[in-house]
Amino acid sequence: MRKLLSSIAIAALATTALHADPGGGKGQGGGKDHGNGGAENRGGNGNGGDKQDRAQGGGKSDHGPVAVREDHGKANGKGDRADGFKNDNGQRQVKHDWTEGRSERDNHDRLVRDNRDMGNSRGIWSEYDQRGLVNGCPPGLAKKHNGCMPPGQAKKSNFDRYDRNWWGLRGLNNTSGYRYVDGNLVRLSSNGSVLSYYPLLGGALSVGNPWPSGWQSTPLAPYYANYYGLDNDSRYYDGAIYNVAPGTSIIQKIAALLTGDTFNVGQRMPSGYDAYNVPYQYRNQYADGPNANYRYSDGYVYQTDPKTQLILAAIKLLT
Amino acid sequence: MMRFAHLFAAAALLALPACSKPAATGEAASTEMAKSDKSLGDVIGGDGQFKTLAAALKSTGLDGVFTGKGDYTVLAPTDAAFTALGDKAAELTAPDQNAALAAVLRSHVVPGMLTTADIGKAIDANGGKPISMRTMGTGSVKFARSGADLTVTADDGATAKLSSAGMSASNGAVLPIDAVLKKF
Repeated sequence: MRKLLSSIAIAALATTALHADPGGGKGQGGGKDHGNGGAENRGGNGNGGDKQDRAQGGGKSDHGPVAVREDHGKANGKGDRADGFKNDNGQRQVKHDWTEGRSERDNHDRLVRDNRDMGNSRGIWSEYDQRGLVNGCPPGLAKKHNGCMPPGQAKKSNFDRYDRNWWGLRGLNNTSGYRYVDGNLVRLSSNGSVLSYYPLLGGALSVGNPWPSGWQSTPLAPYYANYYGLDNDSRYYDGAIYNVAPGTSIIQKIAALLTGDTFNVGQRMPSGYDAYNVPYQYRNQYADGPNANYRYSDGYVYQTDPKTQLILAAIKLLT
Repeated sequence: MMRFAHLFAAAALLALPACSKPAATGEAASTEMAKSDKSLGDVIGGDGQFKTLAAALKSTGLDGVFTGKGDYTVLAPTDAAFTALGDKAAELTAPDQNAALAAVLRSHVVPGMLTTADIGKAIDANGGKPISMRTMGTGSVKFARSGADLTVTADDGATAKLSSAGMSASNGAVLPIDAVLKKF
């Protein structure tokens, strides 16, 4: 039985809404320098210029320690803030960042802490997933072939014709038009050389392979490292967490799969959580009832209003 | 086909008695799974009907996910389900196509622990209409009743029947299905 160290964002948060607005064109926290050497229609470094209209705010530049800030009553009732979190009819906002335990606290300490943790994870996942193709030649292919020319027919795949949703990928801008080469989806030039690539789970991103050099290290929020029991360097990439050997950047383990869904207290539960799915060890504690339902995703249990489907609280599950 | 046969033959392992009880909705809805101390990886690897799946998890490196701490429900195609793919199974399980295989597998994984009883209750609560659950791909699957059976349908229309009430694990559940939830 896991020991539960729960922290619950207080329910009835009609006055607290955190808008990460995934994929909706607004509200992500303005990250840049997320490590990709190139980007697919993203202005070269993965932010801005995204045809999927995920406009970036002008905020922080990376995932390093930045104090969390809570802004009470500063909402103007409409529009987006420079830090990327959208105001909503005068509701209070919380700006999030990776660093746990840092905040300018007030008498809503408990609430702030939990909302921040939620925003951390959800905002970051979707932000990461905007990175797109890496410019250049996949490391493995560069060593094996001159001029970054893809190998012959034997290395081609009949799965080339399937789109990003078939592959289960979040980070590709265009739905189709990629080729599969040596564990990557790639874009080819008119002469057939590789222009850019997207490393794939189970392909280039396999246990024993080096982390692609075009991707800089990106930290995993401490909560997730704790929840999934990861001690070493752990990195998120397109719905999966990889454990990487310190120093060598060799992938040691594919440690977790994630939905990457966005959950915000005060907003409706995302679609796709119609059935009770709380892990076994928490079922007695978080059972559906007339006043609350509970759903699990990516290391959290979410308490929802059975009638409105609004998320009332996020509950951390730590071992 | 050789690679497929190889994977099939090389797969594990210690046979655990799989629950062969059909996932009939009325009965399944009232049946809770017993607690298990085995991980999802051990349950899949130890069940004789999932040799191909177990080998696929190992070859893609996803076995580490299911022996770890995260909680998942695996919609587990049986060996017969892979066999039914015909030549596509050989293509999918070729050594240089592990990324495609991983893509297929992630769309068979649902967050948390989901039992047939949970599915039945949710369908009941939805007035008998299908219910949706997120997968670790980019989409979702829909569970529905078809006569006495429970079915699951992917976004691309691929459909399978839940062939038993499933097995619990320390970190989730395994729900056997009779087809691969992916169109090729």
